[in-house]
Amino acid sequence: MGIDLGGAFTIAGVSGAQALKFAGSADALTIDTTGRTYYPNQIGFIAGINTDPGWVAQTSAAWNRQNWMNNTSYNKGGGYAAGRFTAPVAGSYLFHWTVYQYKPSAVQGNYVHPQFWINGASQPTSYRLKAYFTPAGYSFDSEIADIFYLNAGDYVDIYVYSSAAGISLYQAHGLFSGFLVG
Amino acid sequence: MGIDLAGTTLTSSAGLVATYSGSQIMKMGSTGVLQRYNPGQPMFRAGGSGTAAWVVFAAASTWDKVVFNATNVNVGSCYNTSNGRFTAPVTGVYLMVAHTYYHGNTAGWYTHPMFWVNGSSNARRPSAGAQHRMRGHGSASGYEEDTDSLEIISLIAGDYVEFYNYGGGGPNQWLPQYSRYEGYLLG
Repeated sequence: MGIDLGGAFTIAGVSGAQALKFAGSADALTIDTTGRTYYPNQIGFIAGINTDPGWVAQTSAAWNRQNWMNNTSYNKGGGYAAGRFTAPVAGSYLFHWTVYQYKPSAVQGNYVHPQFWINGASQPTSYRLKAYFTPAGYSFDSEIADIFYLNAGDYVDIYVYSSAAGISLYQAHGLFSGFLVG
Repeated sequence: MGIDLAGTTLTSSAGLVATYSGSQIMKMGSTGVLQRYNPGQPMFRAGGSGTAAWVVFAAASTWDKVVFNATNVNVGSCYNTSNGRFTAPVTGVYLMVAHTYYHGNTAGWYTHPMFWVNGSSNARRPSAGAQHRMRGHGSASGYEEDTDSLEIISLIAGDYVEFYNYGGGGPNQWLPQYSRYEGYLLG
């Protein structure tokens, strides 16, 4: 039972809450009896790896694409697969990345640039610099977050530039996530 | 004048306004802006009360739960200032953000800031391991770093989230009045 707006979109009372949706689809928006609003099927993903390969060395003086995140705890909208998120609809998305990294001996003064790439291209405005002059033999993380406006079909990958041989990352301590915020 | 949907009222006022129990819960404005802010939306912002003062963690090389003892936003009392827990009031995807202003007390100190869910370091996550960050490693004793951490976490109603800092070396210390813990229901 609900109000039909034009034959497709309905507003319906569901267990004391209101739900807005297209006919036959899952709820797009819920307004509950305490006034909370949420999107039960909002586009987004949270990805990691479900095995533990240990430390994985990165190619030196190169952008290393991180596409090993083979498992998701949330993936609605069908946008995430094999380390890449493709925007199902246009909008503003929040992205987050973190991974545990290590600088071996003899490379103090080297660094990494974790970065979100869009449509296969580096984003100069997204440059970060991690571990520069962290002493050799110590660890760090390369956590970053960004908000991007994407058109439908745009895709986002994670790249980490490693300036020296031997810099490694611990995949099991990594996460890549994104969510449509508006 | 509006449409009453079993308690939620839709009215037209420079856009479409949804109201529940007299409070605006959503507005689709005439300029095309969708405002979702409302008094009931799950959110909290916690920090340390009083005059700035360092607090030493109890022991060296242990997981230390960080308890922020004051809030200036705490919708529905979703955050508990006694035990440092945020409890998800509804199933959904949450944005969690936190940092401690952190001071290392011994040579070789470090900290792993991390969100724990239901008392576990990787519950509700897709990864085989916990989401270790690593801060301060390689800094000299007596120096400081923040532990700024962010995570998007899918939670089930009743799940609770706490902010932990593993204290490598130490015992290390933190400054509650320069630190914060926040959460918000994204969707």
